[in-house]
Amino acid sequence: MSCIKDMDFSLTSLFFIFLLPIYIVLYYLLPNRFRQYFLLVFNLIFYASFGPRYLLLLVSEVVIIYFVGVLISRDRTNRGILAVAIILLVVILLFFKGSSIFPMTIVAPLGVSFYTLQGISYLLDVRNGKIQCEHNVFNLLIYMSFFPTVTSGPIFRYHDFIGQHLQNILELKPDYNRIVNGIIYMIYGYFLKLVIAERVAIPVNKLFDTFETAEYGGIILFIVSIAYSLQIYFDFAGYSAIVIGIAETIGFNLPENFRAPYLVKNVKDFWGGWHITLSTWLRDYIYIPLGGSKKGKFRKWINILITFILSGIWHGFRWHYLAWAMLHGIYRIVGDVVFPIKHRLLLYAGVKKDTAFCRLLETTITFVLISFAWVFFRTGLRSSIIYIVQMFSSLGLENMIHGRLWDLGLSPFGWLVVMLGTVFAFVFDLQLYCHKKRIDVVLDEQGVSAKSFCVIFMLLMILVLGIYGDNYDAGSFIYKDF
Amino acid sequence: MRKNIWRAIRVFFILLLVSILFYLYLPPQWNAITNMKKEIGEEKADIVFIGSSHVFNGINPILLWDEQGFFSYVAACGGQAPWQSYAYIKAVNNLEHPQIIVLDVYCFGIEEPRLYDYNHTLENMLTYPFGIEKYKTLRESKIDNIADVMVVFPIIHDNYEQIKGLSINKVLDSNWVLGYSYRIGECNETLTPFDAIYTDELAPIDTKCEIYLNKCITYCKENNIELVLINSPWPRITEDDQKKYNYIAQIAANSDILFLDGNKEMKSLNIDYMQDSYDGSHLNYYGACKWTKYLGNEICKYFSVRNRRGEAKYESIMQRSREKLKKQILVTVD
Repeated sequence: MSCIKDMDFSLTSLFFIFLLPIYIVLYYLLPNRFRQYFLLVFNLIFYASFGPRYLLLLVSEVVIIYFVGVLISRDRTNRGILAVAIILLVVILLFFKGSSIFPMTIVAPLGVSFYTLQGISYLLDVRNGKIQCEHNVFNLLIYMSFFPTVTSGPIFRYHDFIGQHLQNILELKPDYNRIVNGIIYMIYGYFLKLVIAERVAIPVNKLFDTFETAEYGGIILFIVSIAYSLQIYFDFAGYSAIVIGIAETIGFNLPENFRAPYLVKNVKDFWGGWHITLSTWLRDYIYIPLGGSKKGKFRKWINILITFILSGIWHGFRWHYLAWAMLHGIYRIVGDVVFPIKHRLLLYAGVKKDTAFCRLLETTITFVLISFAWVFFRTGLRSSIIYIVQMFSSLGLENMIHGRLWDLGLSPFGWLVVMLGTVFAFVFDLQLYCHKKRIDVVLDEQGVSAKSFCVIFMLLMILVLGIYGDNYDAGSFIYKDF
Repeated sequence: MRKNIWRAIRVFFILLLVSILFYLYLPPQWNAITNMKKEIGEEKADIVFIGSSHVFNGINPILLWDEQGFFSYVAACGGQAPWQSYAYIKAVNNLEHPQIIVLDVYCFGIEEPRLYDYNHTLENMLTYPFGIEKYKTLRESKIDNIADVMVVFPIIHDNYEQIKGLSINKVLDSNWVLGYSYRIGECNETLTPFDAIYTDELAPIDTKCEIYLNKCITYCKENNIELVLINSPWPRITEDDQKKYNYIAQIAANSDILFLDGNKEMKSLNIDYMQDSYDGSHLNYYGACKWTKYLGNEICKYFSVRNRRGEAKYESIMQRSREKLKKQILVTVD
């Protein structure tokens, strides 16, 4: 076990990057019927490397879910067992989430938030007859411990997993296009994470860690809040791209977690493109069972607020996460209220509906509102309020003119790399937003030369401009903490 | 089938192009072994000195050439742990096939955890030639990021701000002459005289260190290399330390290997640390000359090493080295 703990399985470690191709080759060399066991062993070793004792918790949850699933499938009317099981899983989750506010140091097992939600969704789907209960505990264990998703999602639904898994056991063959597309998506993920996210994190972390906000002025505070929006997006989207790409190389199509969320026109659409698997989980298992939008506007708004509050709690048992979530709830409600009269309001302001300028205005306003909300996500409640107040209290133009922005640790060249990287990512996000085509599909359509050039470009940018190395812990993804 | 071959070629070409472009971009990094190859070429050195900072501060190959005509090189790095010395002996043998390897045993007698210092491991092993020996030595050095050190670039890639996002010569500078680092300056503190801690008693060294000492001895015997063990003069030695070097002396005697303990020869060396050390520990230029002269005489006494004076290829290397040392002296004076 100690040698497993010494292995660095984090996605940005060289060890993992070297190990992965070896794993993929071995995976395909094995006969189909043995691949599932190979996958299971790798899943368990992968998870154990982050803390062997937490493997016990994961396996215990799988055992609970397995037996409860069997019992529910025999008697779907018995809600008692289901309720007890869900309460138990939620209590375990809240125990680790709440440990940050109690005077004890308990480290939450990696991925507990994600695989617990997967387990709850499995039980509810069995209860609702959406899926058959799984009688093979190994399938359930593979599902819950699936190494691409176990640490930070995407939240994989069982009915999506099992069909692919059983098909893979029967007939998965190495497919050049699928494997190459998966690798391209992984490279794109590393580009987003190492070139943009890690770089833009430098001024963000410096400002929020020292919190000398009074010295910088409103403009710089605004720029840093935008920078944090970019950081959290590229960090999480980069991670998602990497794991989706990995899964694709071994025959699993994971659900997309992001769909150009910053190019949308309103906050409602933002949640259709941000952390999609969590949003849809909350929609399917919280919002809709509460009644959704079917019980009148007022009830709908209550349901929206409850769903967002639970989302905030899921992220952490702290006031600032709740504030962030409530803010988004309020945005949604206000958006609903304003929607019928939105275009009339825009017309009064001289903005024509469905024009490029109108779309640009809506997108910009939405992005700014979301960036303000991210401030609450990043730091404590009191600090967030101070930050927002200081952002509006003085422009601080002279600070900008005197180059105080460079004091945050990122040089003009660094900012240029962030901007150009964002433009590069924006081009592919636009394709995703307009045509629902991922980068690998877009490149495929452009031909072999364009695809090769883009891959060479991204690889060189990662190697030359990526933030990694002795002094940095690029292996830490933001959403790993949830 | 043809399609698959083209695909394989395309993938290989992309990876090759990226690797070539990236490695062309990487700045060269200093390392005792790679510098030795660059500075003197292969199959040249008759004597190679291996060890820690005691060696690269304390042994002057130019003086050895002037006094005895021996062509030598100092392949030493700071805090070189015994398993790293073993790796160095192998690398030196592969490159130079020297007649004599002189191994300083200071680090064989010190305690953990100093032997596992991460920065020293980087100094010694970062650009050690890639291969299984590098991997094994890194494992013995107990570092966490073996994969990073194996491929080098993640370690030197820490300068995110510049377009040359890679540190040049992160670990050491390469302004050394035949591996020797010229130092002047004097010690300003009073040091304990060696007489005060002189002892003939023995105390065993760390088991792992002893294993590697025996490996070094065995390797040199199997490859027909004369091994000389030395303990460069070191003023901060304690009585307990000296017992361990006495133990090493006994191992050397049992293996019929010459062991030269600089601390016991201080009187004959006429070393006065107040003048001959630049920091109260390491020898300065004057101290290095005394110690080197002594070593040269002892090597002459026990071994028959070729006098290379007059041989064109060696003379040209020594001429270059002398010029480089002159520049070092001028820079230091300035």
